[in-house]
Amino acid sequence: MRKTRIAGLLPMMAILPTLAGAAEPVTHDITYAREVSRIIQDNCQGCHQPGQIGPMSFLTYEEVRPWAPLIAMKVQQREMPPYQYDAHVGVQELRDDWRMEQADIDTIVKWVETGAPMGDPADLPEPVKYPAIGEWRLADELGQPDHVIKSAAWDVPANGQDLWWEPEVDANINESRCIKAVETLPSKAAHGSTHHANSHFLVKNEAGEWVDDIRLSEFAFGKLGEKVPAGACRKVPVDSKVKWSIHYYPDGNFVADDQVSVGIWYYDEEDEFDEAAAYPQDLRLYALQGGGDYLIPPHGKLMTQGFHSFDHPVRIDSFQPHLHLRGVAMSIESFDPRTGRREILSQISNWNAGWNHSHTYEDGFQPLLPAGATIILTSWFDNSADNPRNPDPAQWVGAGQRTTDEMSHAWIAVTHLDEEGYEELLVERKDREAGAVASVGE
Amino acid sequence: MKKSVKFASTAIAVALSGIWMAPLQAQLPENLRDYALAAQRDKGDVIAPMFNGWIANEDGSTTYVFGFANKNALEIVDIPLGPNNFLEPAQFDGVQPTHFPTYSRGGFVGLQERGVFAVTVPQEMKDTPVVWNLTHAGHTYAIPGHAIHSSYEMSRAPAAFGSLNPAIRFEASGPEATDREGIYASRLTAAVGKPVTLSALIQDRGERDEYELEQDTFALGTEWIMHQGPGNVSFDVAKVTGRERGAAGGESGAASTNGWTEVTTTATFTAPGDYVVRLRVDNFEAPDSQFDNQCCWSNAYVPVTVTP
Repeated sequence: MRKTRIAGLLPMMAILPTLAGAAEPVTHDITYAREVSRIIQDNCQGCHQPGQIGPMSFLTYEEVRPWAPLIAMKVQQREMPPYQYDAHVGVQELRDDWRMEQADIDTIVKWVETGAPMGDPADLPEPVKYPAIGEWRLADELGQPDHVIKSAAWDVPANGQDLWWEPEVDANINESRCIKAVETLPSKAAHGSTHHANSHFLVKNEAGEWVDDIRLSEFAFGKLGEKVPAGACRKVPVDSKVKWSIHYYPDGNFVADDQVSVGIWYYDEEDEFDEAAAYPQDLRLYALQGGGDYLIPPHGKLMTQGFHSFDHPVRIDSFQPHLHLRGVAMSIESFDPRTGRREILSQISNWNAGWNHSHTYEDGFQPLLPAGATIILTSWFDNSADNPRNPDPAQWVGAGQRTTDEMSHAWIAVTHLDEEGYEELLVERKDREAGAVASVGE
Repeated sequence: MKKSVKFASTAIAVALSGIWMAPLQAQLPENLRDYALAAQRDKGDVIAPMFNGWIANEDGSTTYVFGFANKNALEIVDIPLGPNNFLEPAQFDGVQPTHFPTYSRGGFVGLQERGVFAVTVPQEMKDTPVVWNLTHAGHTYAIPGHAIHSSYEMSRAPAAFGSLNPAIRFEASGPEATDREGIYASRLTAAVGKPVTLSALIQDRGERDEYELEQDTFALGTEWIMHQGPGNVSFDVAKVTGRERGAAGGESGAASTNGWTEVTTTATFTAPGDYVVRLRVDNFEAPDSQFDNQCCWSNAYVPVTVTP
């Protein structure tokens, strides 16, 4: 797991090589007990243990050893851990960053090349306790959620076509509070068939009709929860309903009365959170090519783009590409009309539809965009046989709801600032960078 | 002399462009280069024959569902049946459209016209793909309908809240369509420029008893669409959405519970010849029905011979 790095210059220019924080490569004989077991604990066991989504367990040397050459290959190719995010460009300061340090990758490769020895069992670390499937992933850090909203129960068939279940349920929210974190949790039984589960609030308008309000959460395969960053408030509406949009893709297992849950953690007195000083934040879908005005030719490739501008300064808090099986990459850039400068904020050039990560920028490193700036989203689709996830390269592919159709949009959390707040954040960053430079100079 | 000057200036231009491009190329991994950017042309672009999916039928046969997308923003294209528009094996040829309008419906619906026609192959031919060959704008596409991947599997089973494909009949006691394959009406005759009346009976279908919905049936949407023909056709009422039909009363869910609703339009043709008009009937007002998730609608076809 990647450690927080010392800052570069402005976050939008954070393309400097790593300065510190990376694991040091070892020079003596590498053993499982002394080095590799710790890397496996930090990077692999969360999924690779009985009952979890990894297809094999990596809790012991005996379990790891048969897979050692494959592990070396997967980590070298950066297919595992499954966190696709380019290291050579864009903001590199991310929360919950699953990428392995290059030194750890080198250690595993060297260990495999030298016969993958066990070493002295006395060097093994203590086993780690992990949350089970069906338990909140954020609970270790935040405790149990303050409020849980469940979808209406529904029977998930074992086989057949994609299905969309869109029930409306009472939110049972009596007080409008700011969200600290939110996590969507598929049931243990339907963990493999819950393709996505989005939820948004419904509130009554003046005519008494239920109308769409803010988004509560977005979930797709592999996604963790989402934490609202400092200085921002995503507020829940009282007397509201939650409308779910759950996409099931049957995986061979029948699940009776399935329910998806969304857990909300609120800011409370212990958090030193000043609601009055917080700026509103929202999580929205930003479409490319109008959401559906594109067609990918058979055996061909295509790129789509989308442009979105703001009439006020904003802070980009997180970025999550959403593509389907032909999608292979997405990037987000900023364009500042004052300077004509385009800058890549994030790029994922090896997208994997099985892992929908919300790339959440570390506090203080979120891109800041002045009023009038534009974000430019670009996605890449490969409908050739070279794409290992492509179910049928002979077909034209367009937008649609089914897994075999495509989507081309990003979920982006944006804090909406005013000029004063924007300038304050700029000053904070300049001060920090000046401090970092002075520190390096000393 | 001229040649060498041209070569030299080209070389300088390439070198300069290399200097300018270097920073961007350095950031873009090699695997992401050589991608065309999606952008619509007004005209001159291709028609995409699209395979929507396959259905395994209870009798062992397989149904292949097709649609299309006209990539142009403005140009409406006609491709007559024949060497530029045919299905293989030949026994299935002739049911595909020849008329390709443009669509821009927004969102995930996008440019595609889905579920335009379907063919059912018997069990003994289940390994034989049905290929739609379509040539336009200098490109030929041969798109196979085949059951090779589960992600393209479709179903006639009820949707999440019990919706089924609506039913269409041309006669009260006649055969009915509840699928993309559709039924054909008896052939009509008309004269060029003289309106002829088209009509059908439609009914919402669903197995919704176990769901807590505000209504058991939903007003249906209808659209009369030119499918095949040598000229153009205009309709006095081409499209009525379920919302519009429900708001108009008399044909809304409650008023037509388990009943049949008659829908009519007049069609006027511009040139003599044989035409086919498609009637698409949808229940997109139901909460589990959307065009972009392939549920729920049915087709029916009206052949018309137009005389001078």
